[in-house]
Amino acid sequence: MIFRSPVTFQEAIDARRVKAIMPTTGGTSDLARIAPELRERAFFSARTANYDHLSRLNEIINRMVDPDYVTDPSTGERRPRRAGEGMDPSLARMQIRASLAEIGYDPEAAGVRPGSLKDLGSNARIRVILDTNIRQARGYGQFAQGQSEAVLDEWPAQELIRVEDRETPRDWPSIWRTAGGKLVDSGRMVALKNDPVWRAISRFDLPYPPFDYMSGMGVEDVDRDEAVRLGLIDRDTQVPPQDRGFNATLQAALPDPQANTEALLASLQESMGPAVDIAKGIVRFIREAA
Amino acid sequence: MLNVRITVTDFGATSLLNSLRSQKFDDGVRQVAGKAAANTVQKHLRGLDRTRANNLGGKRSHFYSLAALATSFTIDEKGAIVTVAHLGLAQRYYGGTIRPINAKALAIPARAEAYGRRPRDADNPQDLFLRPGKSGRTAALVRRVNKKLEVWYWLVKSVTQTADPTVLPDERTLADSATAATDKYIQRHLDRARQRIFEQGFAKP
Repeated sequence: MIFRSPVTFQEAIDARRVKAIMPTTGGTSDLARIAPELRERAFFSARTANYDHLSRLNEIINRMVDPDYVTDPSTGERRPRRAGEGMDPSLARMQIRASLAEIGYDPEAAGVRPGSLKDLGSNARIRVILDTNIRQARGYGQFAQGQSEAVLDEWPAQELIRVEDRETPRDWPSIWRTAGGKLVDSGRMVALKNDPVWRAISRFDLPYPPFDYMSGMGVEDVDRDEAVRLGLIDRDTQVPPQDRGFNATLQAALPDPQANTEALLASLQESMGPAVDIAKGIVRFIREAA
Repeated sequence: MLNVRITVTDFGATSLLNSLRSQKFDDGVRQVAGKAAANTVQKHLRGLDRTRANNLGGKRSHFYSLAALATSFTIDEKGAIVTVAHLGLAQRYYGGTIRPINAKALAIPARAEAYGRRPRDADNPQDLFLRPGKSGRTAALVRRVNKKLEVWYWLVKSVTQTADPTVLPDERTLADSATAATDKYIQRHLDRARQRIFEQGFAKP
């Protein structure tokens, strides 16, 4: 029976809810230095230090991940979306640019070429931000849904596959092999779900897709019969479930978003020590001496 | 005459059946059914993404691929529910009439560069201006390029889309995928339990 009612992908929503806003002057390579477990709990964008803009950007992404619900602007309560309240990518771009205008952002004043990936309001930049954040939330959701004992029993493995064409695809079989993965069955990239290769192929050091920016790659379940045939597992061995600890984070989350940010920044300082300088709620990365 | 007595006692069948009768096992069966159906929906949507690029040839939004990623399942006392939490899929499945809510007209892209972009989101939106409709001609937002007018958006009061049930697999296919997976799951558990019983040996005298 197919029916229509407001629906949620709760695990994907949880992946967004655990995030605290993290203003930063750091670039992409700086942000890659943060431990993946902390990065999962932070919402940031390279060289974006304005808290209010990040907060609006975060809300826009949340609406795209949870399309059937909105936060009522007058009550602050979550309620089902009404007609005309949908957030599509075009509306998202318009609202992001409006937010940048509100904070007086000017790419030239910021020292970046207008229209480039470093321009916070460019099509290219916004596309990468929306694409990466939405896919990470849904990628985590798929991963979490695959972690029950029953599901792991039936589908203990998964395959890295191309789900969207790209003009210039990366050489994923080489990336796979370099990361320690084996090609099976004449070139397929299949591994047990808890195989370290999944984190090793990921630019973000996470065990779920996306594994790189705009990669066009995804995963597909491989059932136990197939996994046995490929020599990856036997009939009875169980793949242990993996828990990213989001439940604990959600329980510990404070009702005030600013307080969540302070807590995150404290964890970041503890984790990275002198590698970061945190002042006035903004994270700056200290370059290591050459 | 030589007789051989076979004594039949409990080979552990009771414990086998008990283990299969647990809430945990029941939940497991439902989870497998839900995941199998969700996987089938995802595969179907990814197939659509490969074959249904937009007719204008504009930059691809990969609508169906993102819908695949938004596919999830939950279980309840009746079984499992697969959901696709992606804006626009229900409209495609059920069809219906779309009318503007926050504007006077719907702006329908007329060229590849306009695909997936509202007029205010287009490049240099200040260059777009209204060409009114008259004498059967549809109103449009146009841009002047080399003394010619290019139509970027058709402006209409409403659009009616026909239902397209092919955006999802048919219910038979979903049911079959769930059944096939749960059959395997249950059979595997029976095989394991049977092996445990065998390894434990038959009843001791």
